[in-house]
Amino acid sequence: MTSAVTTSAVKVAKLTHQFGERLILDGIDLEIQRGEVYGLLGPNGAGKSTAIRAISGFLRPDSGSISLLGNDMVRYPARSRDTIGIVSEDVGLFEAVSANEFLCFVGHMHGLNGSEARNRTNSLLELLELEASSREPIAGYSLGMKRKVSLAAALIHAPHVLLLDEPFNGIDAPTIRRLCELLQQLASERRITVVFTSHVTDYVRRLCNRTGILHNGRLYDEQELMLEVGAPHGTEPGLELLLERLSGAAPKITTITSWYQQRS
Amino acid sequence: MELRYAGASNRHRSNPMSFASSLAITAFLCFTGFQMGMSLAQSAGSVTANVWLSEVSSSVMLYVGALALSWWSPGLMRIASEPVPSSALRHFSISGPLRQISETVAWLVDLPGLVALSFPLPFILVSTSFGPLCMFSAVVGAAAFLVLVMVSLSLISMIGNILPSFMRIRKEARTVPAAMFLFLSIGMPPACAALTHPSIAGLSHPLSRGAISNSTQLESMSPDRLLAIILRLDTTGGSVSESGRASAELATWTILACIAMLFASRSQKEIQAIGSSRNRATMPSWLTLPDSINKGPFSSGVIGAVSTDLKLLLRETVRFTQLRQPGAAVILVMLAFLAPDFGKNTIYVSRELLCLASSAYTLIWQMQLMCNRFGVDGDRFGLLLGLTGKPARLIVVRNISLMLLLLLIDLPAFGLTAVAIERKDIIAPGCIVLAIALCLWTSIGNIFSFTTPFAIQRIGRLTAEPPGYLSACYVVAAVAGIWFAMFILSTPTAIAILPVMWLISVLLGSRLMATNQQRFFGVMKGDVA
Repeated sequence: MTSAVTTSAVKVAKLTHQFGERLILDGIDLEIQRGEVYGLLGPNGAGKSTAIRAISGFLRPDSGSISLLGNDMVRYPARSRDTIGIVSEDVGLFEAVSANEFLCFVGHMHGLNGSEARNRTNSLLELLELEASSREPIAGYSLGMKRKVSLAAALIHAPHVLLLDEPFNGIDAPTIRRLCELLQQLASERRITVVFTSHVTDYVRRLCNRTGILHNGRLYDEQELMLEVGAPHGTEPGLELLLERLSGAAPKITTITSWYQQRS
Repeated sequence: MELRYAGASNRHRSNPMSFASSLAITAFLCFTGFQMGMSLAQSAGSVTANVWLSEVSSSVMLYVGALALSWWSPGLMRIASEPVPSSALRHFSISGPLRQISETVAWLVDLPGLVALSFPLPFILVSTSFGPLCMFSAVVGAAAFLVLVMVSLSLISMIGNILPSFMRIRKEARTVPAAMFLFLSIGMPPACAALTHPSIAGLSHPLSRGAISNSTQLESMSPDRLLAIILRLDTTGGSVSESGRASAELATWTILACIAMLFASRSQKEIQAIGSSRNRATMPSWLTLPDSINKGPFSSGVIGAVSTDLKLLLRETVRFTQLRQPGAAVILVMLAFLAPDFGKNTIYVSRELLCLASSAYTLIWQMQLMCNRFGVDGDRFGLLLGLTGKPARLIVVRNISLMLLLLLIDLPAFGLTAVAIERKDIIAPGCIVLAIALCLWTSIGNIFSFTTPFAIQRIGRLTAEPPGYLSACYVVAAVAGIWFAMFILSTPTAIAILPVMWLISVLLGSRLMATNQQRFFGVMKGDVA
């Protein structure tokens, strides 16, 4: 483990992966420094979740290398698990237990003793405003509450790298604000690296030091992509325009509204 | 007033059968009570209502279960199951008009009275304070006997905390002392009596105390006489009543109930405090401290994790008790193989088929679980994988919880079966064989679980499970487990192999897990065929 000497928390080189005939990631190169908050954007199906899965070691890429805190995640995916926190897009939780029990379980699995796991659980439940329902089974939670539990589980072992796949889906605005503050504080004070995907550019602006946009399997920064898709340079707000162009939403909206015009 | 002693209808059954049936009925009633409590809790909106409703409803049903147990099992488990007010009543010498009152009270503590009395309790308890409860007690329980009923209900509600706390809600702080008080309360009267009156030491069922010696006497007895014996109002069976001691017991009961109430009141305040503690969220200090990542020993947190994992397994039994194609195939093949040996008597053949199929089913679902203990779906598997960088820890935790689960299910089932067929001599060797077989299956399962990736079939959805491979796994593991257990029984020193074998399997399993986890995850997510 070379985490003590390296400054880059995540280093991805020539990452390529395809599902069947479809090329999802096409030679991605990415380097994220310690303490950096990196936002991965892109329309639906662009490969954001696949990239997160590969970085977290749950997906073996067809080619390329991934280094997380100096550990080779392609060959030894399990070695860095205790130093990363993961929130996946599909919230898979143990729904038969309560949030309290679940978080204690996660803490125990990370090697925390009983009292420490309970203390951390209580503070996270307080932070995420889940105390009132913390003793009820997770099965009865809303999607937003489940995502909060998932976030708490990712934080309970105080990881060095947070990999968050659409972490704010379904969460209410005040909690998002608090979480953004928390993540920024963690990044600046503890040099925790945060990589997160989102469709909502507002969060990205608020939180990220740097962003990358996945398009056709390739990773671009904002300026590069503007040139690629032919957007006018310096247009504000650039990210929304870019995502709109990439997803092709604008023409579709025009088409649908034209149906109503024809009908009336 | 017609009083019926239901135990009389059970007199033709042997004690083991009576015990087994009453245990089953009680378990069913308790389970039903728990479900009812949960349903009520879910239908109520607030947290306070949720907690209290579930506790009180489940405790009331537990009490009903205990009453049922006292009806159906004469002579067995009476001390723990006798209606508590009856226990107290027995210690008073009452005659004349008071006897009628006592009979009325005895009827009240019976099922209909209990339901009528306890029905309003949840709604009163929901109202955040004990004031309404006291008013309710004053109105309904002016008579001392009814106060006793309330006290006993309060105490019983404390033991009712155990079930919800294990199943859903954590409240160890009050559950343990409350349960202790309850057991002390129940155990104290007979214990005092046993100490001071050697002639009634042990306090077996009233029917066995000389008043009635056989079922013929029981049949010829009028309900009033029977009740009098049960309540110890009749002195022919040897009265133990001493007003001084009875008063002392009553006082003890009241004190214990007050302490229990105090615990309940404190916990209620805690619940309310939780509701009022919103919007006070602050950054957890451990998140901002450097080097707060745990570097504890391997065993750190294992017990806590096992506890939660065991709860998880117990609450989601439907996920693994459902028989899947390979397992069903094994049972069918086994029955087809044995079919030529069946007789021609349809009833006996049906009985044998039922016994064989149920035994095989029990064996096979356990094999299913042993051979794939993480494969419910990709999300959960990924979650488990993401929890720790030490695959061995995950395997050890799941091994222990799985062993405990299966022992929890198999040992009582085996013991009760042996009692029911009146073969108590096979209990001890059978339990040893079972424990050894489970150890071996656990070891084999550690390797099987990470050899071939497949997702456990979810309800209503067929997913890829390699039937041939799994069928072979089940057969090999079952045969090897039983054979090995028999071998160890014949050569006791060979038992030393078991821990070594388990350690090797954990190491090998964790290596396989580390190597194959991406492929497993891909299969379970449906990315890889």
